[in-house]
Amino acid sequence: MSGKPKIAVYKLSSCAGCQLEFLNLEPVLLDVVGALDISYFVMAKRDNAPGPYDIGFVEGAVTCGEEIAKLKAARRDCKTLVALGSCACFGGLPSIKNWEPQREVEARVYSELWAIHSTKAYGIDQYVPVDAYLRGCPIDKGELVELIKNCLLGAAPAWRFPAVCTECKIKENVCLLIYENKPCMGPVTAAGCGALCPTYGKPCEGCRGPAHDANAPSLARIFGDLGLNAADVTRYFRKYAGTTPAFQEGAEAL
Amino acid sequence: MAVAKVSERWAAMSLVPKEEVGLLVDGLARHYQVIGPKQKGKAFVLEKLASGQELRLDYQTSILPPRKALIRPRETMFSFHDNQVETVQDAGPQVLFGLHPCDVHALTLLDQVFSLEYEDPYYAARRQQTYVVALNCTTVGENCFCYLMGTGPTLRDGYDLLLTDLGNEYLVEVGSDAGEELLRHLSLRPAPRVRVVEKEKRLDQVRRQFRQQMEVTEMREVLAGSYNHPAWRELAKDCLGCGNCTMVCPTCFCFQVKDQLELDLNHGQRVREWDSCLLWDYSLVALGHNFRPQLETRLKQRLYHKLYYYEDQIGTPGCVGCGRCVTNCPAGIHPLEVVARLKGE
Amino acid sequence: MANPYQPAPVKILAVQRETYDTTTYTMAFTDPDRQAAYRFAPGQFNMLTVFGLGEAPISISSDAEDRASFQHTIRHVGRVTNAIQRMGVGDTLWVRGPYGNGWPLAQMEGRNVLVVAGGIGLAPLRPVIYYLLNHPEKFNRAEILYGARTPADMLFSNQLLQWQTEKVKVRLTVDQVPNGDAWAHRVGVVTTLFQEMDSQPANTLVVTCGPEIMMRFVVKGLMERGFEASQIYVSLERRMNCGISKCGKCQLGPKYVCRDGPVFAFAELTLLPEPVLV
Repeated sequence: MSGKPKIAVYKLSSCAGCQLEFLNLEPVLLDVVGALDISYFVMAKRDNAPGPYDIGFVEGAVTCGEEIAKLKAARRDCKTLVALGSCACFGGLPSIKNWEPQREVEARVYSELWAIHSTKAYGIDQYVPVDAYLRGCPIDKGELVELIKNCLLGAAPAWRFPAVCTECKIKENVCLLIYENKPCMGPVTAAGCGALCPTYGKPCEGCRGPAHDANAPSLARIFGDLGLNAADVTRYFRKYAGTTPAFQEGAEAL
Repeated sequence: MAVAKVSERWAAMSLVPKEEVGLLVDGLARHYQVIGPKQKGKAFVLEKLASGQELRLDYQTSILPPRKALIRPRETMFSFHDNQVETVQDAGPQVLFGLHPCDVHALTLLDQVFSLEYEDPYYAARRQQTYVVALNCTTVGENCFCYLMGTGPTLRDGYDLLLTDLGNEYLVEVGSDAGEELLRHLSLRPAPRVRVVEKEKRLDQVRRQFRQQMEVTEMREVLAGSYNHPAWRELAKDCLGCGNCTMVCPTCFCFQVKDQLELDLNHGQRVREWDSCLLWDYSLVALGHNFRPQLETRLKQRLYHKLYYYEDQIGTPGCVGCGRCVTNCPAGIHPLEVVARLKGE
Repeated sequence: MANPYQPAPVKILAVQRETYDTTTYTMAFTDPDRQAAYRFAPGQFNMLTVFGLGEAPISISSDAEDRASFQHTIRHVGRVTNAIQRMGVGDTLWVRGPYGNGWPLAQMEGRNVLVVAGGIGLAPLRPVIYYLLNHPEKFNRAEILYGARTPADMLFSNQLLQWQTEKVKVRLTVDQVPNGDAWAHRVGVVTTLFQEMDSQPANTLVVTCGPEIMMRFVVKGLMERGFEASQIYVSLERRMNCGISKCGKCQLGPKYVCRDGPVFAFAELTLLPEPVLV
């Protein structure tokens, strides 16, 4: 990569919260801006340069045909394509609609259905090859900076995705599952967030998707033992990453 | 160094009234960092005590074991920049206050792991400045099985000072020169002989509270012939592979090493973090081969290491019966129950 | 106190491209005293650092009697090894070692030696071959069987046939020959060479290194031909983060591959509860 890498940030169906994390990098924002040429970032700047770019960050799930076209153009324009956040990684929150008939879901939100041509919500790798994934709702800023550094070094990030429990234990949080009998997705969810929610007393919701080799059916059975019915358990596993094979197994376990 | 050699001149014992035990912490805190049990929600943690008032010697067990004071969950080994390397050492004198016998045993195991052949300089530097004030157990926790492992509920060595709850006061015994040094910072009154007799009586009562489920030697025998037992596949259906058991284990020591680089791509640190054999990529090598890709093989690795291999490595089982893995396993996997199942019970 | 985790700087003296993804680097410690004092046994490995990317265990591939420098033959497949690929003569790497045990050279005295290597597995065996060539009096006869995926994947291709002497026979094979490549040797996996090899079980010591799956078939094939587990030595690959039996990753039963290996008598591996190479 000669000179500063050119960066593009795209938005599909999303809340823009992950893009916002870019701007929330305050302590190192100027260093990041110094290391990169932010060429295309509609939310952050007025003048946006056309491609090609070195690294493209795509935020959001793909939920309609127009977005598929936009995504394919992004793939053509970017040497490295990064899924920015859980929506882009595996559908995220929008994917909760995937298990109901499309027309019923549309009717619940929109009145003029003739204008709506939505698809099921998927992560971007359903349509294009993806080079790196930044999980989370929203993404973890530390991981974003880590990815940028690795791009500058020309290396693949050495990430591991064990369960959130590993980070939760290191913080010595009192286990919500064991001490409070609260349904916590930590044992099957990918770490990297620093066990953010459990640290503040809130059970993990699984926003970062499955940990490596997660045993979702076992956790589903544990949730059942806590008194959750099968439909509740299914909802837990489909909240962010129901499209992933591991959480699909969890959703269908009871 | 807190290696205890009990000799006659340390036979003198002292007493501390229960309400004054916090003052011991305060007395020591003037000279050392004192790490002891304090409450956190419904559980307890071993942490730096801001004052003796935080001390909770009625704790059963802590979330993380005391090893965190010797090899931190994440620590910098050295920093580097512009082709220069500087070792980072942050050891300072510390007192681990109120450790139960199982945890003291675990430290003596780790002492061997971190010194065999190559000495780990970070562990060694901290250990040399670590004093152990142990606490005999006078109650038995729900998941405790130290008696079975021969690591509790009472302690014979490995401590600098040893406390025993006698009801209204603690009996204080000295186990090393370092323990005497600690005592010099405190003013305690000597214990009359009857109180020492009472200690033995109380500890006998505690020992009787344990159910002797099986012998340690038997565990090893059972495991020796059970590697391909079908029960493992069933256990792996329950095991979450979350790594909780290893994080909270007082004798686990695995770590991963990685470099942390600043955005200038020049300054950085080599850091190490606790690792776990339960994690999928623990045995993954560069070309992508994974030597333990199935959860079943990783679960076996953990239990075989604790109850079988550890003994070949340093002469004692790697499990001290603290029960933390049992308490913290969402799937309720209990090492003793696993062995019982393998045995066909 | 000397910190065993802290590497020392090494300068790259020469770069020899072996295959499209493998390179041999000749290097020496920048501190001449350190280099002069540096000794390794064939089969041992070093930990190589590229600061910022990390550390990787790499076996030493040069002649142990060459004291001026040492060599690593590196396949560029990871963060550290990919970064090394971008380095050239005069660049600085950081190294600590050597670690682990070595091949059982002393046991070769008066015996026949069978070397079986697959792919990159020839790298840790090359120091053994140098030893055999340097000391023809230290063994009876030797045979080297080497297999790679294609002719272009052969390491040390300009050396391989030069290793043949009166006492050393070299046999080569490749899994496949892409159209148009010249190839005058066998085609097939390395174990196909067993059919034509001269080595017999009696009084022979086997040393083998290669991918796990290859070694599994080598061990199986040899045992079917009457070789005993105690005659066969294998070099194992495991994840290593420290090289000095602390990080725990490379544990295999009670053994640490970094300390008790990487070379093991296959007989000792068969005693472990966890199956290895079977």
